[in-house]
Amino acid sequence: MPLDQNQATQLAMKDLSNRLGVAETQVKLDSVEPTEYSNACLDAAKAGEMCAQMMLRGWRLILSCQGNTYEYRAAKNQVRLFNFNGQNYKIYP
Amino acid sequence: MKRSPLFHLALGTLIIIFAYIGGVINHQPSCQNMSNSEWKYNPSQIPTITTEKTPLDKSLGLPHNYDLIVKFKEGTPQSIISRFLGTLNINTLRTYSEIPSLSFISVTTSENLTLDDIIASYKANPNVEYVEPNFRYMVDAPSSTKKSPVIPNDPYFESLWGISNVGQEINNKPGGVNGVDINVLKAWELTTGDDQIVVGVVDTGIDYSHPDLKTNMWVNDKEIPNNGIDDDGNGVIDDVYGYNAVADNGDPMDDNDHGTHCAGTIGAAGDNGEGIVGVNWKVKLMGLKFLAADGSGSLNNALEAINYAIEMKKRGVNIRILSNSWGGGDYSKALHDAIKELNKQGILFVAAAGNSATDTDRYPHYPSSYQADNVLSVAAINNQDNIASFSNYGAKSVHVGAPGVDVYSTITGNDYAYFSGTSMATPHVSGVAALMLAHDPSLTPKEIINKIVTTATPVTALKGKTISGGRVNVYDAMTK
Repeated sequence: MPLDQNQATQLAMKDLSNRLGVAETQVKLDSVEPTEYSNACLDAAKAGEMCAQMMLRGWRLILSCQGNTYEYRAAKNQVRLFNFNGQNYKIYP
Repeated sequence: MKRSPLFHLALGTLIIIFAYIGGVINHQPSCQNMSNSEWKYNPSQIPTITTEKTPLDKSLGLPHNYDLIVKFKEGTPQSIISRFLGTLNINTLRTYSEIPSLSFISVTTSENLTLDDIIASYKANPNVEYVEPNFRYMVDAPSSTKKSPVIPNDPYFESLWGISNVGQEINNKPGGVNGVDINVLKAWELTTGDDQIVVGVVDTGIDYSHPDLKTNMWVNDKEIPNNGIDDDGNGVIDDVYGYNAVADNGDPMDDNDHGTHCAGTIGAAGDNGEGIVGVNWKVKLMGLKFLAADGSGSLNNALEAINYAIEMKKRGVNIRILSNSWGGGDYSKALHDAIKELNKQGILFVAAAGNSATDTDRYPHYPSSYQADNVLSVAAINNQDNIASFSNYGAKSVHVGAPGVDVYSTITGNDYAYFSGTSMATPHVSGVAALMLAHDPSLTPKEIINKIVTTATPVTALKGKTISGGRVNVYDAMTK
């Protein structure tokens, strides 16, 4: 089933609360904006990952928690965490 | 390409006919006289007879009819022309009172002879100036279909600016520039493809049930579908349409759309009254799935997909091209070696230059930047001959530009969509290479690359940004 923006946001917030070990209520959604990524990995490939080279519409989600901000990238078929401590993560699927 | 004995017998018959017409064999009196024809040339009266062969009884292997226009050289004696038209397997449908030495004929011949075979044999006749299929003309053809007589009847043809750009509106955006396409309409006058050429689509898979693709899918005839047995002993069970490296099984069904889109550009069936047409009306597409449903994949799975292609090539499958609309990761010696192995097997490796708007001379993008004689790197252009804003480039590392913005093609679920990316430019060039091989099967990967580079149409926006400095031009690549 393709994700919509709300589902992608929920997945991102849940991931961040688990990752930081905080309650989900402490994670805030600062902004969501539509964007176009330059490959199927949402320009957030993991090390060594290979990606289809097509332009892909999705969303850029900015979350915050305890004074820090975090960038998630999502499209209808995936959600990724961008540049978390220098690394990218695929959190869905 | 193997041909049956029946093919050779039929071809021999044609050669004898021409030896006869050319005066090598003594002749009989003519049975028709062109000069007596009452038919007058009138463009509106050109019959809308398809160029496809018309099977009289395919199931019984009986003959086919082909409709051709034949022009004899000026000065050819009427007696020779009449003898030709009196040949047993030729029925003269029309002559043209105002166009001397031109005839519209119907040829009945063996099922094993293709239209290309017949045209080639007729062209060998020293008295024949040219011979063409009876191209289909559409009375109410849209503007985009008027610059060549070779127009398929696929209803979304006008959406394919990469195939034929006459400045039409694309994807609800203002029109492009007339002629900014791959010049394939002229190439289709030479060939529309060959179902003996197999192109592997290394991607997210192919929706092999798509009505516009299923007739052009490669089928492993040594595998019995869905019997749970590795019938051909290649280590993969029920690999009928290719291989799935993600699931390590024989089902390369697409679960993303990307691979199906690329496959359609290479070879959606042409003139089938359905959807779009690929660069090749007929070809064989092998699904080599290594990208998962989200469009990402691993080095190991890429190697598995390539390994399958090499394995099948060694088993006799005529794989000539792998189309690679993907990229990422650092330099891999293993992947580089795999590509070199493909070259040893005579397989061209067409690769997307990448979508980072980066100079790959300075910052290599893999696999398109691997140094090997069979790697052809492709940048994307839009329908106004500008390099796409996202496209990588490289005066020394990217070979050529091809349509990659707002490209309309097949997607899963019997549907169609516009996609953009060097992913979309790549299958245009893979399709070009397949069409070149249909025209001349002897070409090596290196020769194909050299022809594509040296015959590209010069484009200001690609000068200094690609090796060729231009846009791929399939007709010139086939003829120069």
